[in-house]
Amino acid sequence: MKVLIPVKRVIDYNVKVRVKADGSGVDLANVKMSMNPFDELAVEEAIRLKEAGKADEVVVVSIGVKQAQETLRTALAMGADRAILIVAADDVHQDIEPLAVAKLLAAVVKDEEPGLVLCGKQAIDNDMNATGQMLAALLGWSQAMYANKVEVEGDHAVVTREVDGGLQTVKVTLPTVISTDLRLNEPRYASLPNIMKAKKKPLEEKTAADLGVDVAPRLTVVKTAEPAGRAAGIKVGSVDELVAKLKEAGVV
Amino acid sequence: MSKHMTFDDDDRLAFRDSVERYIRDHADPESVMEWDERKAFPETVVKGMAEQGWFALTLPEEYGGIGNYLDMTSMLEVIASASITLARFWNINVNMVGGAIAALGADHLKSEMLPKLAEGKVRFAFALSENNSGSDASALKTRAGVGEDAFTVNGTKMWITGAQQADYILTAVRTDPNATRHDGISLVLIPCEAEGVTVTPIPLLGGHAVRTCEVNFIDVKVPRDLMVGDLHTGWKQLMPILAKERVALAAMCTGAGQAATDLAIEYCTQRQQFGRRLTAFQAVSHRIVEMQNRTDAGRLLTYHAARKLNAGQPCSREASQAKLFASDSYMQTALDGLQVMGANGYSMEYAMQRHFREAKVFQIFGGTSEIQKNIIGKELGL
Repeated sequence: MKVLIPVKRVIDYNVKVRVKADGSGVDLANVKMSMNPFDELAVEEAIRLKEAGKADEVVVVSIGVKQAQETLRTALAMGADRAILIVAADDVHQDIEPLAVAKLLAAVVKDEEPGLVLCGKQAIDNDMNATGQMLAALLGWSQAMYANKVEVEGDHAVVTREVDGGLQTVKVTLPTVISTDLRLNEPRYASLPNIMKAKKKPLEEKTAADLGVDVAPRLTVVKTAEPAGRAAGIKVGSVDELVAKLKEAGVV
Repeated sequence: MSKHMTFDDDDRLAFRDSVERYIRDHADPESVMEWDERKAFPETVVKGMAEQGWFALTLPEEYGGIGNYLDMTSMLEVIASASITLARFWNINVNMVGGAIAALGADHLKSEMLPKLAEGKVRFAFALSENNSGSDASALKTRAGVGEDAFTVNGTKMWITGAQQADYILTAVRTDPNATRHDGISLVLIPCEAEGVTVTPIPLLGGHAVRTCEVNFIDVKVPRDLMVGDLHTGWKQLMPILAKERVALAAMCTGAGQAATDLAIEYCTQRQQFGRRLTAFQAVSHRIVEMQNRTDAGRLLTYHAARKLNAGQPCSREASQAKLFASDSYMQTALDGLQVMGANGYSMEYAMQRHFREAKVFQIFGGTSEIQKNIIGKELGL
């Protein structure tokens, strides 16, 4: 079985983001970029499936600017077999919306015919949480989002999902789309030998136009603002004083 | 892309990124502070470093080594920015003792030791200094009687970092009792388990997470096949190893100095006094700029020396220049960082005090700043 993993290049989770002066978005110039952490979980899970003999090829695909090939190389260094880059933007600030991404992925799925698409539940940049679901809908496939555990057996997968209030286990028929949640696994670090090997792995480049998908934005960002700063706290001397202060603040 | 200058190509950036992530996850500031306070060796993290393949980095390719000295420099910068202990442990094991075995060791020694080192299954320490032989290292008195099958070692070595963790200590011993100074010295791997070896930690100002020890040898029998290199010519063979050590120490000073600078920047951009951020005062911001400038200058010298190492060119002068400048820079950066952070800089709650304690030793070990100047002066024909 072939596993397809979409990976997104996003601002590194450790970077303190800064809003652009004109409020149109977050400043991405000269900022450290990394693979979306939820996608890393997906890459890890796919490699584990391969190591367990449940998958025979792991293909990663990224959509966005040309620099996303760094993200693909990281996935290859983790252990993916080959990569596809779909160049859909020139400007690092142009975000490709979930529906366009899902359409592009659907086109890749038609070419590649994977038995499983494993994707991150959302990207940490805009937290849309939509691409996986849209892709399943476009393909007419089953879906199992927010996976905490994935077991592939024959023509189906048993997925334990993280849902409000607990865990839900579903059985889905392959091919299917599964999205990863935080506790699925702990992704490995790329070792230097594997980074070197990754250089020799194939990375195919296409454009959105090649796949006949219009990626023009349909959403308009009205405003981006930084969260309000936290006000300094105060120290209280006793429980009575604490209760009085809370009452004063109108929270009890 | 790092906010600070790097000399890394894409592969090295990918490796550096992977090192950064491992270190961020496993050597977080709280853990590092705890190792220091409790004098606890970070065993699990070191094991993890071996699992990542870092202990093979600069070994010969047949033992899994795939990196060069620029990779080493980049890696040590990142490791030392979080934990000097981890960086020093790596340097002693892989760069120095592993490097010595790879360069000088007989085939049986290489095939026995290097695969185990690569997997982190054998650990080394390095012993050169003695009580009366520090900067004057060639005055060493530890004796090894040369028998047919074994050496008999007697003497005391000082300042052996990681001796408590080591399986073997690569020890410089005098094998020719009639020779003086640089002659008649050999290098032997002394098994720490051997009878007559006593390891005693020395209380120090810093470096608590991997203790530095005194090691005493009384009639210790060491098989002849544990000799590294040739009999009586150990001193000469040691010189390139010590040059490589200086490059590694310079890389650590650069990484740790950058961490101290970053901490000062973070603190001083947040802290308010007289109604303004501390960095709004030029007395503070100019000092921080100087910290960054010095760190970058040290980094340039370090990568320059590492490039020469990579090219297999003699680099004794460049290694000494890098080590001298980067260690002095780190010390000055720690002093300045402490000053701009005021009482909080002096407090055990912030990492700046650790930089203050750790920086000093870099001006002392691996050849003092004064010895580096002697080496550079000699190279300049002075």
